[in-house]
Amino acid sequence: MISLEINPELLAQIGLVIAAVLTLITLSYAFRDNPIFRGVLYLFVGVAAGYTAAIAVQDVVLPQLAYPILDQLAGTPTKDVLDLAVRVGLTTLLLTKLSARATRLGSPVTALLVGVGAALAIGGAIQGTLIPQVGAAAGFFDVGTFDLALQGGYYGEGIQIIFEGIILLLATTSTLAYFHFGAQSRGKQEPQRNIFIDALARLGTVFIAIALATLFTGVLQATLGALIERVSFLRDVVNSLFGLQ
Amino acid sequence: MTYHSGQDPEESLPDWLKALRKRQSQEPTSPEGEDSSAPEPDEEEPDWLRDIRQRYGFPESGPETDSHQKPENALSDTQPIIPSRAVETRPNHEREVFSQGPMAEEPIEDTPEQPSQEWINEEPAAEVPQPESPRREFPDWLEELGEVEGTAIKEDELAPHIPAFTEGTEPELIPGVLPSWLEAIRPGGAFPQEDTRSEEMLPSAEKIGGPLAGLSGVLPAEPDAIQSFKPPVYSARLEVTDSQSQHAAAFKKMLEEEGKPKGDQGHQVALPIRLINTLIGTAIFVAVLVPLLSQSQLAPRPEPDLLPENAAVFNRIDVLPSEAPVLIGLDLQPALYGETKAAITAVINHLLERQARLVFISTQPTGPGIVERLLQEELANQPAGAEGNYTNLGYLSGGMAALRSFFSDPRSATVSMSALGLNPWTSPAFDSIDSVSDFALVLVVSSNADDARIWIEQGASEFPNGLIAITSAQAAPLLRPYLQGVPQTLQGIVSGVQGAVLYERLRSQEVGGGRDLWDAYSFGLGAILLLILLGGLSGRLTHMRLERTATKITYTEPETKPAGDQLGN
Repeated sequence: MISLEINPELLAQIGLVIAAVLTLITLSYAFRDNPIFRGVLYLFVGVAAGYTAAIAVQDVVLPQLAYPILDQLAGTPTKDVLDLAVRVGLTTLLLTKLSARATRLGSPVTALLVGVGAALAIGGAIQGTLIPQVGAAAGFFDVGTFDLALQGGYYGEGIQIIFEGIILLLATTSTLAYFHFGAQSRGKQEPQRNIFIDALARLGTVFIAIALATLFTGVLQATLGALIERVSFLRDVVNSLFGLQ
Repeated sequence: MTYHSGQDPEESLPDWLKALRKRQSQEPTSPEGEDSSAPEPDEEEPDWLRDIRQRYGFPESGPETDSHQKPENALSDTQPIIPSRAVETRPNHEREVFSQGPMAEEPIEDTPEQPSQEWINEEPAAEVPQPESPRREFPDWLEELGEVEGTAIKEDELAPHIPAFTEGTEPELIPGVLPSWLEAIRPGGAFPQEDTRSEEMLPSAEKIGGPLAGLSGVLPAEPDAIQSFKPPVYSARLEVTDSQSQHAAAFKKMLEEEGKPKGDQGHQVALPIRLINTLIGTAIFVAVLVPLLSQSQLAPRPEPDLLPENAAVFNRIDVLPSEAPVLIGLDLQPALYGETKAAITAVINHLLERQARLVFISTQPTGPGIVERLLQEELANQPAGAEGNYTNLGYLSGGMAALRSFFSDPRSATVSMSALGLNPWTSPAFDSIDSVSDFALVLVVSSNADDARIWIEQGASEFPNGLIAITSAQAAPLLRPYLQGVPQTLQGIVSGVQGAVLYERLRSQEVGGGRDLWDAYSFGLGAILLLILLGGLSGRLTHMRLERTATKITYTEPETKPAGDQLGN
């Protein structure tokens, strides 16, 4: 019997070369779209989907559903019968969504998933996002801090507190006003927003533009960081292949 | 039973009715409708009665001998009623009266009143002996005048039956249709334009089914419920306005465009634009590549005061006791692993130096693989990484709900490690861990803000020592408000290359992953800023040039037009 032994270092080198080639093909999209880039794109999508499916089968389906059923059939149960029945029942009902005729049977399971997810999302958003953000916005209008600054002779800090409060108030109200779409109809004229709301909304566009620019900057920084890391990787591969350092 | 207007009604009759009519037509009809089975008068009347009749000249009459009292033929109603004119059934003396006027022979079938039918069937009055009335003697001229008046009186008595037109001189009147001369003198709008007669009164009422099929002017013999008319066909076309049609068309167009595959945009880009794209890409590559190849460290690192959230993370880790359990949730997309790798390496290096016991978990399938790669390659120089002195719980399936369950009771949560038959909680290192709050510190490594937000929202109240985030640069702006929340749900952030460099500086590291990339990052960012400024300036200049050209055309247009006209002339 012939045993095929491959040097691990050679395998690592081959892997590096393949990764470098795929990286170069991907970076070629920065100049122009090309069929090779699309082929690599399909390869990435396929590998990612296959890897995810393999993880789902190996870590979820087999150990949490298939193996307990086999253990139960073999007479060596590892799960409670009721627990196993619920798992099998819910899974079977969810699988009926694949059939157009029996899709209604899977609706209760889908409703359970959606309902639990919505309840968790709403509860978490209120407790973890809304209340802390409201508290943070109200904290800028703490009169006690302003009094302390004045009593201590820190007039510059006092002015700063007032300025920050005004900016925060304007930013919050004007941004909220931008998303207020209520309008009143006057006779046969087209519905128009209140003049005060409209003026606030115009100011809100400035703050929204600043927020979007901040997000764009973050995306740009992340993209640039990924590009630099890939170029650095190519540099390391070249150095490794040619013994440069 | 239904048939069309052009169809012979007789053909649409049922077979049994056709057979019945045929049989009736073949039966010998006795004159005057006499029944052959009726007993002969000679046989029933006694001789003395017959003698009396012969003596006084009485006719041999009986109830059966009168034409209007003779028994009905049982099959007579199966024959279609032939429209007959009442004048034909009138006695002769009435015909004579009617014939005196110019319209004597006009049919009166349009007024079939019951009294008129009764007198039609009466015996001729001439055969009834009338007592003679005393008659006065009048002159001849007066008798002639009296005959005329008597005739007029008779005509007045029979006025309802006098026809308006002489038969044959005028077209036959159609029920419900005005004659042309009457239509001409009708005042406009005085009569309804629509025919308000009931359906059975219309001329097309022959469509009724049943035994009376084919007969006109009769009421339907069957109730409407059992009539088998062809159901009316209603139009399924919607009545929509123009506005609704336009909206529907726009919506349909949107749906069609959604289904169409997008074309190759690369082939549609004009050559100058492609050239500009190539130049921009080349400039960024050069700005990044040169510092990397030269491995320069020219760009100054940021000051610690610039990012206080980094200092907060450093301070929290730096005070951790030895062997402190630290939970790390690694919800990182592989695509942004390279960008976040420098920050993760810097923070985990610090944790390992503090000899913390690391426990990894991930809510994404790719998370466990990234953990292994990170510890085996990037942190191989650390004893914990080399010896495998860490715990990778693996993949926690179920998303937000599973994460909430894990925070509530981590020991009962099913992760991939326990699913494979291994129980990590039997290790002595986890003896003190019964809940998430027992961890000395909780970190979430995320490439986008949503994943980190789930950790914050679902577990902020469960972490007494707070939560720290290591994120991509694109997630930091969205997570920064949580740093200032009241209560504070996020204790610190290390994000991107910038965060990594600053964290390394806090740890007094002169060499690190962040520092290696910092020059390229700085020059690349500078090149991008320069390109944005140049692009904005170019766009503004182009716009100003177009505005100036448009202004020139506007001012010169009144002068050039007459010149053009003159040239044309």
